[in-house]
Amino acid sequence: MSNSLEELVPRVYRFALRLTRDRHEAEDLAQETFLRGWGHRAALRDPAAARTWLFGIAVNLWRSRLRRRRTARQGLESSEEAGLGRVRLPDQDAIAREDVARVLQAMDALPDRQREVLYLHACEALSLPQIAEVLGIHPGAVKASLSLARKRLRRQLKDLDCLRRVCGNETSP
Amino acid sequence: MNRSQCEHLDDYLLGWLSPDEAAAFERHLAGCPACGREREVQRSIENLLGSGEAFSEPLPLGLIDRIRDGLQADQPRPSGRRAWVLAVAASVLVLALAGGLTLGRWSPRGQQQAAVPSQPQQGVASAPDNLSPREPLPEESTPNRAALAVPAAARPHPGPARVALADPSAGIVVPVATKNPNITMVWIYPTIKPAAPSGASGSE
Repeated sequence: MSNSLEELVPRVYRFALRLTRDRHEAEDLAQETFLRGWGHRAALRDPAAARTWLFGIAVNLWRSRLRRRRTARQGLESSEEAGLGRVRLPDQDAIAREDVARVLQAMDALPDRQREVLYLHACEALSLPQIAEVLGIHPGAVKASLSLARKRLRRQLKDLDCLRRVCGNETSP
Repeated sequence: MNRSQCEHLDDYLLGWLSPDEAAAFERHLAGCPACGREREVQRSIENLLGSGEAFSEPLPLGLIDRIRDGLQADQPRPSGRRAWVLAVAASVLVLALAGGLTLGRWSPRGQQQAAVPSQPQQGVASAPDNLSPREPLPEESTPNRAALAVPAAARPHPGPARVALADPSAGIVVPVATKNPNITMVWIYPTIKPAAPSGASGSE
């Protein structure tokens, strides 16, 4: 892990947040991810790939948790209670705050695979092979999930205020 | 509007089309307002996701420190572990030495005198065991030392040792309390006697 914790922890935490959709769960998952990664650091062949490697660990840990619970419904309910609906954003970004919150909520409403793929692509700028490696799926599946996620998100968000502004100001002929 | 072409918007935006396919889609895009709107919506979403993620999800307070502490706690600490091993080894050595000295020098009741040192001190050992018997020590539970008290669990308890002097007037034997029933320790205070006449051995 050549990257600093200051750089990696926020990324892993936010990815965990997208996986779990619950802040407490995400914090716990992030801590476990680093501990697991530290214990298996000998398996990290390329230190530059620490970020994607940790993402992969987080995915595996989260899936293990879900399997243990045998139901993902519990996580959805807890996310509604203690999770992302209570996001507090800086006042100076009031307008953007609403738009971002809507985008995040729309993303969180996507099916798990689509949400994970979209997050890793849009927020972490990972390539298709990297996403495939993190999630342990075929690159073709990444491609399909990403296309579906983008289409679904566009359908849900076409009425956003900022989007109307952007569309009104910048739409090319 | 060509619906089949509209389906390739994401492929085009993501750069998944070949140069020829991309050129064909750009021709379609120029005449398709729906695809133009979709493209702008997609750009806005990506901007919001890219810019919003950083400030919309504040990191829990102290998370980095907690993770750092967890990793440090998981670090191997050679010096501390080595010190612990040394402490255990030293304790076992002390117990073994103490047991060897006491049990070896004075044999327990019912056993032969084989454990008597080959060069006993003058006036000590090979004595009747009815003198200065070892006081029974209180049975103390020593959970903290249980890991160290390997001999107690590994071999049958020989029973309380009895220590006596060959010449009871040569000294005073005082048992010293130990926490291990396998270890018998005594202090021997030699007595000072006036010089005996010639040939006297000092024994009764």
